[in-house]
Amino acid sequence: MRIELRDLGKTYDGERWAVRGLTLTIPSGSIVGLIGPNGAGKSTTLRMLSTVLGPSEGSITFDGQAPGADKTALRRQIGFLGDGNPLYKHMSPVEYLRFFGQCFKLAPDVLEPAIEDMLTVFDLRDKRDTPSGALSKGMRQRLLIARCLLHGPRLLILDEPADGLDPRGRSDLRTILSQTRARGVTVLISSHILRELDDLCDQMAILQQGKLVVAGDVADIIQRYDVRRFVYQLRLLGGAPAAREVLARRRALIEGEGFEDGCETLSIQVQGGEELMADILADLVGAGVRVVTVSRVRSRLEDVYNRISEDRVA
Amino acid sequence: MPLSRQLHAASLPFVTRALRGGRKLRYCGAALLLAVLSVVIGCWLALGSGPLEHELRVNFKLERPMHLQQEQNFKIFADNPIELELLQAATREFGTTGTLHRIAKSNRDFDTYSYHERQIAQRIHDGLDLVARAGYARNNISPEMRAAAKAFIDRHGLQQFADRRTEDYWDIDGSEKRLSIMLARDLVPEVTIYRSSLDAVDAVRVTGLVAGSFAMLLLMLFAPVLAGTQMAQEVHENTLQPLTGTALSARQLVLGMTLGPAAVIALLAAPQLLLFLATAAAVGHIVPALGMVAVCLASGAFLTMLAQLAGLALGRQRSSGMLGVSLLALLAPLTLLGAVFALELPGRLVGMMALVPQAAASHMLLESFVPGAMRSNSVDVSELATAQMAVIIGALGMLCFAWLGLRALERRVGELAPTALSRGEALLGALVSIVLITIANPYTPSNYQPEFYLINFGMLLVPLAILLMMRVPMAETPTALRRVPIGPLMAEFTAGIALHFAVCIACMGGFSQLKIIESPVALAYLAWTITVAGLLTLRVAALPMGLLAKVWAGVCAISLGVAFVHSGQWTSNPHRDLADVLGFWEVSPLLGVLQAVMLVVIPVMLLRALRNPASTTPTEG
Repeated sequence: MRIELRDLGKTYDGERWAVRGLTLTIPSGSIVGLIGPNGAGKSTTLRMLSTVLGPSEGSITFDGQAPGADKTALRRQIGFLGDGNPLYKHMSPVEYLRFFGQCFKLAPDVLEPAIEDMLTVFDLRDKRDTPSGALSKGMRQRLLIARCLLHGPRLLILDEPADGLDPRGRSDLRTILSQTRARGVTVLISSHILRELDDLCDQMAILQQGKLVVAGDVADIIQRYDVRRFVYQLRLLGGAPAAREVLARRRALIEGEGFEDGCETLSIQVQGGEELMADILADLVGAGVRVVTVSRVRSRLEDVYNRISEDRVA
Repeated sequence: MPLSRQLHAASLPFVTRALRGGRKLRYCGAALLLAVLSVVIGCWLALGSGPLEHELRVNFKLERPMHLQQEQNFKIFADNPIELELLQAATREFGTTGTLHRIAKSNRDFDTYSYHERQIAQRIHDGLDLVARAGYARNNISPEMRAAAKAFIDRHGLQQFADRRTEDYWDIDGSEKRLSIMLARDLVPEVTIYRSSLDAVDAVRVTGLVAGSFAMLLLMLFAPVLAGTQMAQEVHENTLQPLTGTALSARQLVLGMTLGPAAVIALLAAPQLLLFLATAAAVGHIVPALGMVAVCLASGAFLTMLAQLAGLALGRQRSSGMLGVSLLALLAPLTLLGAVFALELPGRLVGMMALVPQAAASHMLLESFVPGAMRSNSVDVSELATAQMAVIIGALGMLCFAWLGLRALERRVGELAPTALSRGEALLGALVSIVLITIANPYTPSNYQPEFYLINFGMLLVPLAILLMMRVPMAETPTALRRVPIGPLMAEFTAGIALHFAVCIACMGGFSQLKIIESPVALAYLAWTITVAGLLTLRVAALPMGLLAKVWAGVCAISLGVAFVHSGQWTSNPHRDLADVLGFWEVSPLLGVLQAVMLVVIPVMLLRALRNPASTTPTEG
């Protein structure tokens, strides 16, 4: 489902705007990350996209169609997980999924196989009859996402889905979202944990104080905001102390050290362009440091976000 | 989409959820158990011979008290077989002319008799009194009975005792029947162990009453409590939010959340209703029985919507359990009060059934098996007709309120509009309230007029305040930025009250009957009451209520009551001394000054808070 937001705005009191002037295009079948600090307007935007909240100005179109007065047909194509992640503690996963399936008006011959499918995909088969209150946090989160996907939506909206998940749960979430994308579902996800979105999202949009700061393809944005930052990783077979001396002399910042595949590794940030790095490399070789590889480390989403935030503060 | 399909789509998830797993079976089992319990309780209550059963039957007007039965049927009830034998043995000593003479001469001094003999002697003495009166009564007695009594007197030579009695009246209900029993038994009372005066048909009748009572409790007490509690739980645990994003419309969602708990109640109530209707058809009156079901459904729907609105409004701050207990504490006494009201049916107040649905349902329940004329406290026919009218109009009013409740819930749940009710809907609600209150306390020319229009005004303030609360915009706006349209809302509130006075004038047949206009002080107090009631309602609905704000609202409410009473006093006596304008001045000049200050400060403070909501923020939490 392709979604277009045109000058979208929402105010609750007619004076202060939670979101304003939001123009964004979300391509069909992509995963789009919505990033921003608390109060940036992410949840408001997602609620408007899920049609549970009407915009004060601007418009949203879904596959070129504006939602009509009766939004129920459109809602059958949207899966929305809001913040708070509420569950009925006394209902088992099967009962919970059946309840929501009926709320989405799925026919029984469609609903029951869909429930089984979700239980399999989200690895909840063994817990199908366990009360939800007795499930682990990760399982509960999986059940909530399963609920959002049960009716086969073409748009999945997840507000902070990784909140409270352990590393394993986050990894599972990434897998599930990749599988969902593979089904052709457009995914819109907001998160504070930017590393979760880094290698997952195709597109991202950064919101601050209700305004869109930057939006577009993740790789393009990183590239755009990466020009002033040069981080390299060195793999050394020997001569690490000498390397540290050279780097200190050249005022290169060592960001991290490690050991990988029998080689010592150094992550360094240089205050200059690629020419400076070529000079540093020559010095290292000259000082007897046995350099195996030098590779440039691309910035991560988190770095870009921090950079943008710094820019705005400045 | 057709209504039936809409209802099916709305109810399916919630009914499935309510009856999931083994719940359906458990509820069915409980329903059958309840039905069996109804039969057992009904039979026990109707046929039981114990003092508790008798007491209950007397309280429910199904049987006369034991002492009246003994008196009317010329009987003595023994408590047990041993006492029965002793009394029967004692009875054998009486019945002769000699014993009759001795008793007649005794002047009720039976010290020489044994305990059991004394009981019999007293009863015979009562009988002698009646026979003597009958023999010489000139009015209201059939000649045959007079002749029979005279013959008894002559046969036993009791003329001298009869002559002593100069009364010649005969006007006690049922005396003739009592006399015939006494004469038939030759003035020797029957001694027997007490048995219920009700028979098997009565037992079926009482079983129907019990089943109907259970059904009424389920529909009018437990259904609202369950629905309100569930709504509060959805709000409290934030599970309502995901539901609003499903394919169900706001109306379907509200209907579903009503029908889910209703399905549980329906399962429990179905056997009770069947039992009730079947017994009413067999040994009672089916039309009032159907009327009772209709009243229960209409009122149950209204109370359910009201409870759900309470759950929606309070669920975020209060737990569902607390709300459930509060609803029970509010509705259970009303149910009890309704039952007592229907049993006593207090004359001029029968119209209150329009306002108190519990009383209306209880009345129809009684009418199904023990119509007014059959009750031990036989009821006036015109009162019964008024009661029936009040019940019908009340049920229609409840249906109207239920619809308004549905609209309000729909808007609140779906966040479809800033206000819960539109202006037209609020006006309809006000109109229905006015009609119901006017029926509850109708105008009769013999009544003192201010009692009519001022008391009705006082009663009307409550529904009008609730309607006004539903007209306050409730968007998720920070307190400091809230704008309450005070003028338009106060105008709507005042229009409702003006409508009430217009109806009162129409009922009284003219403006001149409105005595309040003769006293400017009464009018001023009335205007103050209306203004402060409106402003206070807006303050409570629109702005946060911290502890201080709650105390202040309490002070305002008490002042409202004081002003209302002053208005009434000045209406009843418009020519009072001007020094009495401040009622508290008589108690103490200091209190009088305080009253004067409050009259100015209260509206000013309320208005200030509403115009500048930010000023109320420090009192939050």
